[in-house]
Amino acid sequence: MSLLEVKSLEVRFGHGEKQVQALYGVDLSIDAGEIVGLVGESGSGKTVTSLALMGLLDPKSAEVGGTAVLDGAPLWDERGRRRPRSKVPMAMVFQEPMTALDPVFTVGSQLVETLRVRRAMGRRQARAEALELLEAVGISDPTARMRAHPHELSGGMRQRVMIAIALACEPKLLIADEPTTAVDVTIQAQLLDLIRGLARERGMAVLFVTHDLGVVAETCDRMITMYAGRVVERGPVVEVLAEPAHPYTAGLLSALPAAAERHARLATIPGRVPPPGTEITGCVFAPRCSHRRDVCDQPQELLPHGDGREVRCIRASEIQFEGVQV
Amino acid sequence: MKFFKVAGLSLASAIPTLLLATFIVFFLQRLIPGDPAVAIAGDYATPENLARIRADLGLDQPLFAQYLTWAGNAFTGDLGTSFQSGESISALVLDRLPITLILTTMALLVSILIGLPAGVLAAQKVDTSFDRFLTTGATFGIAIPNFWLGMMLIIVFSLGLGWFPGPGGVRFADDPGQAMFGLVLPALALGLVGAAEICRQVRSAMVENLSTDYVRTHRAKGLSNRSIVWKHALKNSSLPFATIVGLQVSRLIGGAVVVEAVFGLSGIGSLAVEATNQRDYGVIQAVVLIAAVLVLATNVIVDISYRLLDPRIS
Repeated sequence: MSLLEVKSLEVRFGHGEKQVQALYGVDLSIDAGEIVGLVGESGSGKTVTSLALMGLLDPKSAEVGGTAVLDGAPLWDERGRRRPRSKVPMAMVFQEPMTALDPVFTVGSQLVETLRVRRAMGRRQARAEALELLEAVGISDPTARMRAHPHELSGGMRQRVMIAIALACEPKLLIADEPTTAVDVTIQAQLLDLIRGLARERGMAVLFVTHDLGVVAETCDRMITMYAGRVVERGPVVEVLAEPAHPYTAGLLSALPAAAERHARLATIPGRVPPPGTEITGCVFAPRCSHRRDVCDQPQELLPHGDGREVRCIRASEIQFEGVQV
Repeated sequence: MKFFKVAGLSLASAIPTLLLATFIVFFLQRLIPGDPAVAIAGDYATPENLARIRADLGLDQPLFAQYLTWAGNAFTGDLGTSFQSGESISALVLDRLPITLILTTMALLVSILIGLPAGVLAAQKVDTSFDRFLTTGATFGIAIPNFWLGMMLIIVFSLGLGWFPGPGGVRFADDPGQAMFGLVLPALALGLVGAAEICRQVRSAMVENLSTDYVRTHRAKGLSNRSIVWKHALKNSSLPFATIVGLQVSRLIGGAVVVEAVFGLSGIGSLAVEATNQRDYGVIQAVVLIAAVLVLATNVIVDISYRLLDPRIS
């Protein structure tokens, strides 16, 4: 049994007539210690997936269906009641380090507070542990940083603090939602190294939400491509990137500047992700796909495609896409 | 150390405002029609008498010299003597000030103790019927004039139900407990409008803060809703709260004049009304000066609390 086992996860927003569906039966499994990339454009459903798992969608407007079992225990029961978050060995790092930390409390107090809630530590013990965590995420002079407020730290440092707060929860699964998008490239590489190193050291699984295939190539073991609230392809990163089977994954790959030839126009995928709630009976990607045929108008299943891979494209075996070697 | 620096800065920035306030008070005063010498000596006084009174009071000096004398004396605590009664103005004011200070403090407590929790609760239940009930109530609260509310409170609770003493009140020096009790209705009349205002401001600040990224982070790390709302979102909402409380204090000092009249309390507000009727310049100046000092002191406190509450303001 995997560490995380998600079955037919569905999310709907709104009520009655105006209700729109954002996720359509997403299946997902992550093994202990594994780093899985969740890839897609804005609107593909990757952030909704992670927020649904964390229970951070507003219950007043979002309805979550399906099952999710983490480390043997379900995240919510049949009636949708969630286990208290402080009891679930899962944590999340967010995209925006500038706004994700509380501006009027010190870094130290935000860390200590987490340790006290999550691990029932006393004040003194929590302080000592907080110092160790700051050190573990590569913050120099942790004693001084404990007293700092978020605005006194750089973006990269704040993201390290975010990671330290996440580690304070002792997660078996860390969800990282575009953690490096808002920082500059050199910091990005350091943060990726840090997350990968911590995952390995602590045997922590990571669900890495990103739109950046370069980050996936560098960091992840497996990847899952999402489109319009559905999984369209999944498999080991090396193989999927070497030979993408779904035209959407192939499109994302060719849109990478590194994959394009110098001075050539950068490739783009024409059109946009259909807005949530759009009724589609056939292949969801068909309207933007250059390989569309009549068969694409029928409903598409996620089908096995070679060893450990799955793809939601009826023509996958007929078409060859150019990939990149990682 | 940081506190003293902050406090010093805030105090220093209040001094020019204070000077300006005294300036305006002093000169506006002189624009009020009517001659105090005539008011003292009566309509049938001889010109010689009037001249003598003016000379005694310094009214024959140039205006600016009068201002300097007055301001210099005021700085040392000597507010002069009343034209009318000949008593020391400082003594007059000190006699009347406690009741006004207690009244406004109680009213401020009413405002905060009702407005703050109401605003937080409304924000937590945003867009529910409970929230709409509170915000509608707050809108009415802001619209109600405090003299009318005062009269209604007297009619219902002291004349009707007899729970509280009627207008007039007990002197503070005679029986402090009874005097405080007698101030409950006036404090409600004065403070409920403030409660409504604080409720609205706190609600909107809390609603905004509860939808921020850092609140999502706190939820993700497993903090209880109580801690998120009452510790984190509330501290982040403390700047608008401090601002509105500061504004309430100036409003309360102004409102005290009216409420003291309604409840027959002899505070500094009624002193101002009496002095104005008698053209007792010195007393009016003293009252306005005290009000200005109180408002400025509030601003200094608000300013200091800004810097202490939000580390981003340095």
